[in-house]
Amino acid sequence: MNQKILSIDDSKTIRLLLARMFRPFQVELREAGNGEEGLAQAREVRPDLIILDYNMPVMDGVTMLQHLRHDPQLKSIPVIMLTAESNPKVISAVARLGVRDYIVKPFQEQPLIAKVGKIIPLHPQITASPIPPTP
Amino acid sequence: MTNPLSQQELVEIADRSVPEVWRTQLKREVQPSPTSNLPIPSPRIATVAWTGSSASGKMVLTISSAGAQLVAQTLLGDSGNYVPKDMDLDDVVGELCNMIAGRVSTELRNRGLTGTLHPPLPSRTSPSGTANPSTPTVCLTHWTCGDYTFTFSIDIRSNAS
Repeated sequence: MNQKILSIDDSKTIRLLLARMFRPFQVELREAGNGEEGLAQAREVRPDLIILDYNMPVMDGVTMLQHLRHDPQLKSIPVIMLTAESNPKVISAVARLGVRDYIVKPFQEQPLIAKVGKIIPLHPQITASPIPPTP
Repeated sequence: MTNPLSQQELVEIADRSVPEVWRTQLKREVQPSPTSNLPIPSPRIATVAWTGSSASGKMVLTISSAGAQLVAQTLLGDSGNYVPKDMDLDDVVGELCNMIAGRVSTELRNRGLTGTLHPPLPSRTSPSGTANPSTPTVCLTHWTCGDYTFTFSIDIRSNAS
């Protein structure tokens, strides 16, 4: 069964980048453009992992995380922050809300995949083998 | 309004922040290029505001549409059949500006200036007072990466008038 990752970032570029990064794995990637949309997606999809930006319009990542942690159905979903914000106050705030990791943009792809792989199993996509010709 | 950091300090911050983003995210090296008054053709402009208790300002990344297309292809090139659309190019430039601004914000904090970054805003024309070499308090840096050039400016001023 595919692992479900919810990517919440106001940048379509980042969402596309994550989609490309996880394409080789058995992962179902869902997307949201802000914290409010992310909460709705989380309730609908029940993802195995959330990759969350901080600085977003409508609802920022910390506010979304607070809502998530107060929802009995969603509070145990692991979260990785992926953000350009490196303010220690923000890092402390999300640490208190139990984020599993904090990655500052710009970021390298392999370390992010490795961090995700420590939280959820990442199995390679099974590619269909060619059908042998009938004799 | 006064500038809490000298222009030289801001240039040094830009000189560290811009190449780091290109190197880490795009795996490309950028070079400082000579200052030019020539306008960037069909510019894609992203502005990230930074507000602090003692100073505030903005950072602006300006790149040609053709350059933004090359950046998008570098960043997302093997995303299946992905072809960047007009709005996507604005988003790419905005996200790169956001990343650079994040690095700049860290450097400002190391110098005692704490502030908050805001989401990037795209535009096609220069915001007033930025990316204009004649404005004395702005730091405007010019860059080259392969076939395209771009500029990045930092304008941080004290809040007290």
